[in-house]
Amino acid sequence: MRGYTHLVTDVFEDDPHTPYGFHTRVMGFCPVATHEAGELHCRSRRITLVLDINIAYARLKRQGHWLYRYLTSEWDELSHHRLARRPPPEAEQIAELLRRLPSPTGNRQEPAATVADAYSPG
Amino acid sequence: MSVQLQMGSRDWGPPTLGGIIRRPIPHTGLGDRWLIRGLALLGHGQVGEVCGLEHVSPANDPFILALNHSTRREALLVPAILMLYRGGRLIHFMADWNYRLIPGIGLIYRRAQTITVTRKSARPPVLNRLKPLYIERLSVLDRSRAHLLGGRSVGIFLEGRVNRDHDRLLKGRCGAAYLSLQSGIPIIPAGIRLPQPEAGRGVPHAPLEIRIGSPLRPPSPTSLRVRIADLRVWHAAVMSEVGRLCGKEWISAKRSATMHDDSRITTRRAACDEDRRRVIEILRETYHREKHWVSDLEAEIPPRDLDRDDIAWFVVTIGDHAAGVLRVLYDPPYQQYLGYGLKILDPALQVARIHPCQQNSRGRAVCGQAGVPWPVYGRRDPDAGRNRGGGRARLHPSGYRRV
Repeated sequence: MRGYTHLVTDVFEDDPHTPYGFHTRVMGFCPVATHEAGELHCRSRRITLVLDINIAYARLKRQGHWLYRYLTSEWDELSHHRLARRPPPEAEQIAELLRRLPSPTGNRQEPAATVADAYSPG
Repeated sequence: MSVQLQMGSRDWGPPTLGGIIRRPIPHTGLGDRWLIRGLALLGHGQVGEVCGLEHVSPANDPFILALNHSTRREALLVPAILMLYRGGRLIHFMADWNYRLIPGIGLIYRRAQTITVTRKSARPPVLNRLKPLYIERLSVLDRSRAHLLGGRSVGIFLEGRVNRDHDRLLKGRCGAAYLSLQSGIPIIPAGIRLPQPEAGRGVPHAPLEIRIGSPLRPPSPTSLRVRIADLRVWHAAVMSEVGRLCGKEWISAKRSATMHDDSRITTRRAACDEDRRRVIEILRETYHREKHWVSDLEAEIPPRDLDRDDIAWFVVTIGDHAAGVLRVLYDPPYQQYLGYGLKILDPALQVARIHPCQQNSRGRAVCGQAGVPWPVYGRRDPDAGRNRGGGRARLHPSGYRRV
């Protein structure tokens, strides 16, 4: 465990197989930015997504989501403990900002979990 | 109808005109009575033998009738025939909202109290402006559940759309299995058969043959929280039975058996030239041939990437099949993103604060990008999505990626 708090990825807006919905609805990524160019030769706009790993962990755990069960089926207690503990204040502020961000595609999104959600018991 | 109805076996031969007109329909009003008769007359000659009608008699309400979907006409004819047999008692079928835009069909659907599904888009797209008129406050599942709890039966074409493949069923939707597991109400599988085409020529107006099977009772105790594993197993059981009744094979049965066998899915970090070759193969299949996003495949993963600490490539395989590739950049280069003309959606968000280059920042970010050949991801399979998830990874002893 290297101690990372956020996961950043890009998805293409016009890609017919775009994983945008999976990332945002299922995993809890938040769109934070867009950019027109990148490493790949694709004319589609890129949507940059950020995932707060702690909040995603807590949200999926609370929902009893299959993704949580799959990913953590062989975790040890220490791994769970590391993700369940409260993050630094900077991460909480970022999480709050992420929660307020609009969707670049205009799609309706499930409201992102709050920091309070992430550290509620259970 | 009465001349063909054999009460012993409850099988039904092709209805006669006189039988359609004379059969009593006591459980509905005069208008609906003639609507049912009219539809049955319209379908005269289009419905052949019906087997297993005793399973859908009103005495067995409520149940979930689960059918395959081979032609559009069966969406009208099968409910009409069943309602005629049931003396006018409704089975509330799920139906797409856009059919309600068709004059006459809309009236039939309204009188049949169908459960309108508003998931699909209309063609031409301009008709989607009317879609809000058909969106109801409660979800489709909630409305179906209300019918079932009220003692009324529900009908679902499991495949969700017309499937003209004569040999295979589509994967199917899990709504029937979900409702059944949640409510404990049995599913009655039914197969609609069409005569096989000869020498590649279809038989567009050949009579349908309807085979209704015995009720399938959900195995687990009723629970509001349905486990996804239970749902998959129950859905597979229903689809397999519908496939048997309609004479089609349910391919997903085999596929799901392999896809859900976790021991077949492995993810490991690319560490040798052989792994690098597999990464290049996947990139060639996905990003080069299909999407034309990369040209120089060798340059995408230089050999030195295999030994770097700040970059990791992961190869996902299902059995022997290379299914996806994931590149993870630890501490992604923020300056590189800025060079792409990054437009922050909210100026209040300072991305640099989650970047490790920023002094005093305690947050750290990791960047992942994944590529999966579309035959895997294009099926919208949750396993494929799982493989695409990207992320900080460490290798589990069993070979799985674990965040």
